[in-house]
Amino acid sequence: MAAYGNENAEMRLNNGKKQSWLRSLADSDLAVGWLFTLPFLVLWAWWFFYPFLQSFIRSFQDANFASLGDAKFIGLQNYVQILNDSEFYRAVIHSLQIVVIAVPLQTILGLIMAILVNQKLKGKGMFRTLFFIPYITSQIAITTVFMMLFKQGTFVTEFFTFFGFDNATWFADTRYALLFVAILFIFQQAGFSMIVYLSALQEVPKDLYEAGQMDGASKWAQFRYITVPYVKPITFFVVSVATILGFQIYDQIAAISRYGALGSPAGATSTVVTYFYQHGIRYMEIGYGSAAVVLFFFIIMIITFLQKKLLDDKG
Amino acid sequence: MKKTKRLTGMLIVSLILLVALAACGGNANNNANNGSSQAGEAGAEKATVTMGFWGTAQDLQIYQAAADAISEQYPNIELKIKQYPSSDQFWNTLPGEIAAGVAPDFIKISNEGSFEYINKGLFAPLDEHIGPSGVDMSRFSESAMDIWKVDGKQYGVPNTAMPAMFFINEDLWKEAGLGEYPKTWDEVEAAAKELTNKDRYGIAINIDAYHITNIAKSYGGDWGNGATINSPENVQALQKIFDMYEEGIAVTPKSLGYGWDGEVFANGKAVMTTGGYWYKGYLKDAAPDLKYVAFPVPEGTTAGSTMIADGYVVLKDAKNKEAALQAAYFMTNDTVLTEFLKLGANPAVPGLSSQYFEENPEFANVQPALEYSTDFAYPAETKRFRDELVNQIESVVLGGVKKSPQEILDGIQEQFK
Amino acid sequence: MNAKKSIQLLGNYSLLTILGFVFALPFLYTLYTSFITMRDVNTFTWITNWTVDNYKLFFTNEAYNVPKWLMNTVIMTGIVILGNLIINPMAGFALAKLDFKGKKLIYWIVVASMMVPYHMILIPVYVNVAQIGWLNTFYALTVPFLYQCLYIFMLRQFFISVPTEFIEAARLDGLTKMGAFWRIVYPLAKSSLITMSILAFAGTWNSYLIPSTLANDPEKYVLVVGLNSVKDMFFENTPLIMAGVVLSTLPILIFFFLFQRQYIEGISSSGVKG
Repeated sequence: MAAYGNENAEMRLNNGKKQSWLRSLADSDLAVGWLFTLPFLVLWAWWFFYPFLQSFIRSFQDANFASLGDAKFIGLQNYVQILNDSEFYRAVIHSLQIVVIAVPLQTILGLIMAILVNQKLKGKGMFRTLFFIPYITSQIAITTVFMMLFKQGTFVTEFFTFFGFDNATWFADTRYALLFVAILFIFQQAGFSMIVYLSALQEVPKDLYEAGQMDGASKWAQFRYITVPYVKPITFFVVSVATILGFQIYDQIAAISRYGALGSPAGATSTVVTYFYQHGIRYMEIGYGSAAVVLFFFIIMIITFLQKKLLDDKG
Repeated sequence: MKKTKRLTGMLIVSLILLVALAACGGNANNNANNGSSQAGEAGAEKATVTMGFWGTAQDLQIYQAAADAISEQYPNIELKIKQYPSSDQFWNTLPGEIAAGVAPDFIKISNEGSFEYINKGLFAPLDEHIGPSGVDMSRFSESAMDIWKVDGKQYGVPNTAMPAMFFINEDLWKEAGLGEYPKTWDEVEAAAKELTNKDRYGIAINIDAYHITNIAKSYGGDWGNGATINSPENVQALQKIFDMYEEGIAVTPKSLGYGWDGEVFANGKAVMTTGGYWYKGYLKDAAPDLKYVAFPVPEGTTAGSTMIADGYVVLKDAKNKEAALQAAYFMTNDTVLTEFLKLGANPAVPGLSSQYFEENPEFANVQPALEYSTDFAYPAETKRFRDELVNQIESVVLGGVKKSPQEILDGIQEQFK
Repeated sequence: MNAKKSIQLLGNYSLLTILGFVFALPFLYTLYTSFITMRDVNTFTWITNWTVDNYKLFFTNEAYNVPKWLMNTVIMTGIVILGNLIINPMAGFALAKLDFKGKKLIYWIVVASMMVPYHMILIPVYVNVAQIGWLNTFYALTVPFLYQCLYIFMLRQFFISVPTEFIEAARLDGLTKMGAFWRIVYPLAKSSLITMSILAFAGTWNSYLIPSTLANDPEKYVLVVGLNSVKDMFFENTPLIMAGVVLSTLPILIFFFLFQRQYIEGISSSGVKG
C-alpha cells in the first residue's frame, strides 16, 4: 500500500489543483454512488422499467393478445376478478408451500455441501462439479428423469414408503405432486447456494478459526460462532433469492404437465406463475395476467421485506 | 493510479456510448431496410410473403423446396419460410410480432385450436380474396372445407384431414385368446376386463380433451361450440370412461409415469388405446416389433369420431392477403401433398386420398370414418375449456374427488355459456 | 489422533459420495438415454446396444448447424459476462459501501426487479427490440442483459463483508473512493466475481425463452434454441432430446470444472490442524 501512497504523492505534486475538483468528485459518496449505478440504471430504465410500465398499464385494461390495439381501460376490474377467483388463492397457497418446504432445506443443504467441498480433500473439484450439475442441466431434462424415478414401484418410491408415503406415481397423485415439485426445486437450487456459500467461505478470515482452535472451541462451536455469523449477509441473499425463484418456478411444472393442463394433476401444482401463464399467455388475456403478476409482485415484496428485517441488519 | 482511473472512466463511457451508438445504428439500419424493401417492391412489383412454420427438419425441406418453386406458378410472389422452434414459441412471440408489424402472413394450424383464434379475430376471412386470386377451392373435399368455415365464412385452405383411430396390440390380443376385434365400447370394456393383468391394463385412456371428445362423439355427443357440453350423450360417454377406470381396466399414461398414450401402448402396458395417424411414425421408432391393428373409434351408440385436420390460415394483419392466399394455396399442390402423405398425413384433396391409403395400408380400416368424422366443436375459449375438462376429470381419476359425470359437465357448462 | 482423523475422513467421503451420486444421477441418466434408441427408452439396455446416432444426427443433418449455434452462444455469453463483470460490481459496491441520497431507492429497484417473471415484460421488450431494428441481432441478445439484478444484489451482499477499514486505509494512502474500489476492492473480490461469472455463464448459456423470442432466425439460433428445434412433430424423441441436453450442458460443466479451482480451501478443513 505504501507504493500507492508514493505514487499518489507524486501525482498530487504534479497536478494538484487541476485534479482537485475531479478528485473530490471521485471521493464523494454521492457522485461515485450515482456514477457507479448509472450504467445499471440506464439499461434498467429502458430494458426493464419501460416494458414493465407498459405491462402494468395493461393490468388495468381488458387486453387480448389478438387485438392489443382495441384494449379498453376497465379500472380495477381485473384485480377484483382475480381476488374473487378461488383458483388464485389456491395458486398462492401452493407457491407458499413450495417456498416454505424448499427454501430452508436448500439453504442448509447448500451450506453443508459448501463446507464439505471447501476442505482440503482429494477430488473436491469433482464433487463440486457433481453438486453443481443439477443447476446447469436443463430443468426439463432433470424433471423427465425424476419422473422416471418417482414412478410407482421404483426403488425411490419404495424408499419413501418408510416415511409413510404410499407407493404411488408422485407427480400423478394430487397429494404428492406439489412435494415432488418442491424436491425438484431443492435439487436445482442447492447447487446455486453451494457456489455462493463456497465463495463466501473464502472470505472468512482464517485467523478467526485459528483463534477458535486455540481456545479449544469444538467444530460445532466454530461453525456456530464463526462461520454462521460471517456468512449472514450471504444467507440473506441465498434465502431471498431462493424465495423469489421458488415463487417463479415454472419449467419443472410445465414438464410435469406437458401433455395435460398446466398445473397437472387436477391443478395440484398450480402456482402464481402458472396462473399468470395460463391466463395471460395461454388464454391470451394479457391484461388479466398482468394484474395477476402485479398482485404476485406485492406478495413476494412483503415476504422479502420481512426476510430483510429478520436476516439482514445492515444497509 | 491516474491511469487506472482514466481507464475506468473510459471503460464506462465507452460502454454507455456503445449502447447508445448501437441503438442509433440499429435504428438507422432499420429505416434504411424499410426504405429499400419498399422501393424494391415498387420496382419489380414482387410481393414478399412469409409463411410461419414449426415442425420437423423433414417438413422444412419440403417447404423450402416449395418456396423455391413458387415462381413457376406465381412469378410475382417471393415466398419466405420462417421457422419457429416450437408452436408454443410461435404463440408466445406472435403478439409482439403483430405489434411490431413483423408477423408472418400465413401459417399452418391444426383444427384442434383454430376456432379460438378465428373467434378472437386473429385470421382473415378469405371469401373476398378467393375470386380475385384465382385459386380453385373446389379441389378440396366438402367436409374438409367445412372444418375451416365459421359463421359461413371460409378461414382456411384445407391441407390434410384424417379421422381419429383406435389401436389394438395384435400379439397381446391373440395371446389372450380373444376372438373378433371389438366394434363397440361395451365390447371394448368386456375385452379390457379379460386383458387386464398385473403387468398391463386393457385400455389406455389419456385424460386429454382429444380422447374424451372422440368417445363423446361415438355416443352421438358433441360440445356444440359450448352449447351442449352437458348433453345426455356427453354424460353417457364420460360415464363409460369413469366405469372403465373404476373397474381398474383403464389407465391414464400419467399414473404409469408416461407422457402420452402412445408410450403406454408402445411399452405393452395397455392393449388398446385411442390415437391417431401419428402412431405409425412413432411406433416405427419406439416399438418396431410391435404388431398393431388400427380401427375407427368404437361405437358407443353410433359411429362418430373427430376429424383431425390442418390447414393454412392468413393472418388478419397480412399486408397482401391475396398473395398470401395464393402462396397458401400453392402449398397444397400435388407435389407438396404427395410429399406429406408419405409422412403420414391424409390430403384434403379427394383425388390424392386413395394414394394415401395405398401408401399407408395399415389405416385402410379407417377409411369409412372419413364420411362421418367431424370437427372438434370446442367452445370459443378452447384452451380454457380443455384445461378445465382435464382438471375436472383428473380430480376424480387421480385425486379421488367424488363427482358424477353429470356434475362435472354441468359445472363446466356453467362456465362456458 | 490418527484414527480419529481417518474416521473423520471416511465420514466425509461417504457423505460426499452419497450426495454426489444423488446429485449426478439425473445427469447420468440423461447421458445414458442419449446413447440409446427410442425402442429402449424406459428400459435398461447394455452398452452393446448403445448408439451414437443421436449425436450423429446433429452433425450430419444439413438443417442443423451446430457449430454455428455454438459460436452464437459463445458470442452471446461472452458479451453478457463482460458487461456483468463491469456493471454489476460497480452497482453492488455503491450499494454496499457508499452512503448517498437515493441509495435505498436503488437497492429496492434491484431487489424488486428480480421479482417480476420475465415472461410478463417479454412482449413489450420484443416490441422495443423490433422498433429499434435489433431483432435477430446480437444486440438484442446481449444489451438488455449486460446487468443482472440478481448478481448486483449478490455482490452487494459480498461487499458488505469487506471491512470498511480497507477503504479508509486506501484513502489515507491517497486513493479516492472510486480508486479504492478499482484498486483494492475489485481485486480482493476475486472469488465472488468468479462465482458471479460461473452463475452468469450457466444462466446465459442455458437461456431459452429470451433468445428463442428475440432471435428466432435459424441463422441466429443459440445452442439451446437450435437443439430444441430438433424434434418430431407429434411426439418426443427422448434420446435425441437428451443428446441435445448433454451437448449444451457439457461446455458449462467444463467451464465450471476449470474455474472452481480458483476457490482455495479454507482452514476449516479437517486435515490441516485437527
